[in-house]
Amino acid sequence: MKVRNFKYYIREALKSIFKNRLMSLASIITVASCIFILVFSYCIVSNVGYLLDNVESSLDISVYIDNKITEKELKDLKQYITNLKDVESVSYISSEDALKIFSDSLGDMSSDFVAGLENKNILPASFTIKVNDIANQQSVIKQLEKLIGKGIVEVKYDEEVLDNLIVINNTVGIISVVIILFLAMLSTIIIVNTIKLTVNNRKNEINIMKYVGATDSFIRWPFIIEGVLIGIIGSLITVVISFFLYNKSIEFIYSNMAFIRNWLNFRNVKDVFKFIGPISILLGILIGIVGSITSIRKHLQV
Amino acid sequence: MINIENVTKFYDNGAKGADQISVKIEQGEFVFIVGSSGSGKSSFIRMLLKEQEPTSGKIYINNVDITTLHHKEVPYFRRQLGVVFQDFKLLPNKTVYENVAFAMEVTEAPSREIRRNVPAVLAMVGLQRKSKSYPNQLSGGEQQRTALARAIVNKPSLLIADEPTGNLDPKTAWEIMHLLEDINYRGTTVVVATHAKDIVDTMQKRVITIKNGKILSDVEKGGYSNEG
Ligand SMILES: Nc1ncnc2c1ncn2[C@@H]1O[C@H](COP(=O)(O)OP(=O)(O)OP(=O)(O)O)[C@@H](O)[C@H]1O
Ligand SMILES: [Mg+2]
Repeated sequence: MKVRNFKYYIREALKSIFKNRLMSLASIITVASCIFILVFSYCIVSNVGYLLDNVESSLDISVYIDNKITEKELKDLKQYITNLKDVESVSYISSEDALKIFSDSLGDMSSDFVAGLENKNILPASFTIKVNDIANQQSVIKQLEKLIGKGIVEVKYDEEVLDNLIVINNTVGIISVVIILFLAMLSTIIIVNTIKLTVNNRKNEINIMKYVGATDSFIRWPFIIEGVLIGIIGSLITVVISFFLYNKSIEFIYSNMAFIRNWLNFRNVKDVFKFIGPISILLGILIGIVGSITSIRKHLQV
Repeated sequence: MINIENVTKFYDNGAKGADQISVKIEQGEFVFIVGSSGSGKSSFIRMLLKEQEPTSGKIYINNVDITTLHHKEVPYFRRQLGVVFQDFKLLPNKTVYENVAFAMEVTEAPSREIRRNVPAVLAMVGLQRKSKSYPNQLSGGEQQRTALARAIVNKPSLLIADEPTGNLDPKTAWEIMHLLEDINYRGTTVVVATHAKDIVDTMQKRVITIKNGKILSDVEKGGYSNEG
């Protein structure tokens, strides 16, 4: 491809975009909507994943220890639990630590009350156990319950939260796949229809070019460049808008529902868009190229 | 220049476009193709442009058999021709100047040459004042003159026109015909399919009459055949 031709192709592509303003706008909106759908789904899916990771890792099992146990037995017990399959970490909380955590949670008014307890501390020592994956939580609990009476008094965990989380984990996986498939189908239908309109608009134009002796590639290049430009514009608009939208929504949620922060963290906007931003723009370009090639291919075969 | 050997054309629907046509046209001739509607004039023209393939027979243009041209060679073949149609076929998004320049741009002609030749042909067809207008701002006659300018800007040896005056009033039709005659005087072979009886009768050129796809008559300095 010669440089002079390349300049000509770009000029033609730009002219065509401005001349067929309405059509270009429709194509840009189509690309933008498809990309928006993608970005939106990705934001939700990646945040739910992130949320589940957070909740999972904060979902510990507490094991209360018999206070008659010896120092050595305690050490062996900790070693034994650490070696159980799927256990990620075990941390020991002594009876004194437990009291401190308890008094901290009560705040100022607690000091007198706690002071009275300090001499005859009735809070048991415990292990806090983290499991590597939420799906294995149940099997670890079963193994721990076998230790009751052998140095352990009680195994505690949040049964309801655990059950719900497992269900949520599975449903989110399924739903996100279904939604993305559905939306991909929808975008394809929209794009194909926009292309059909474009084809009819350009049938005459392409025929005329062929009468004066234009080669296929001479006809094709401006259309391809036009598609690329439309793809870039459409996806860039979406990425910029959704970047700000995402940022503002999180700010809004955090500032208006401060309590949410305690149990729910959103992914940082930069982390999300570092990945989905470039992917979106590449996809926009791809849609543009595929769209323009499909729309003229049929007319070049004469 | 043009040598058509025993060409027959059947369309997919069974309609007959040409029936064993054989004809020779020499360099520098001016030829009218006449005949009633549906007789096969456009079929004849479209095969010369390699827009349609004959079902059988050969077509030589400048000693090249165009029926065997490869898809990729067709654009280069078309650059040797100028074509003009009843409906002008101008690019709606380009000005008069750009429409004419386009025919040179596809041949990758140097910009300098484009800037020199385009105004020259626009002057020849009398459109220098309209060079910045778009096709929808022009009269039919002006649009056809633009198409003519585009057809000759690459200095083709052969100009083919299918009813170039079909959409024009008699006075404008004559202007276009005179331009075609001028182009012919400069050495270009001109083939014109037309219904314009008065013009054919007055101009006294070679007239080939087609009926039902067959050549009915082929007369030097002829008139419009009433049998056609
Ligand atoms: N694309 C096509 N498909 C099928 N049949 C066609 C096609 N083009 C022309 N025909 C048929 O071929 C025959 C010759 O048509 P053609 O267009 O060559 O006539 P014509 O002399 O140019 O007529 P007119 O003066 O009305 O333009 C007609 O019977 C017509 O119906
Ligand atoms: Mg016709």
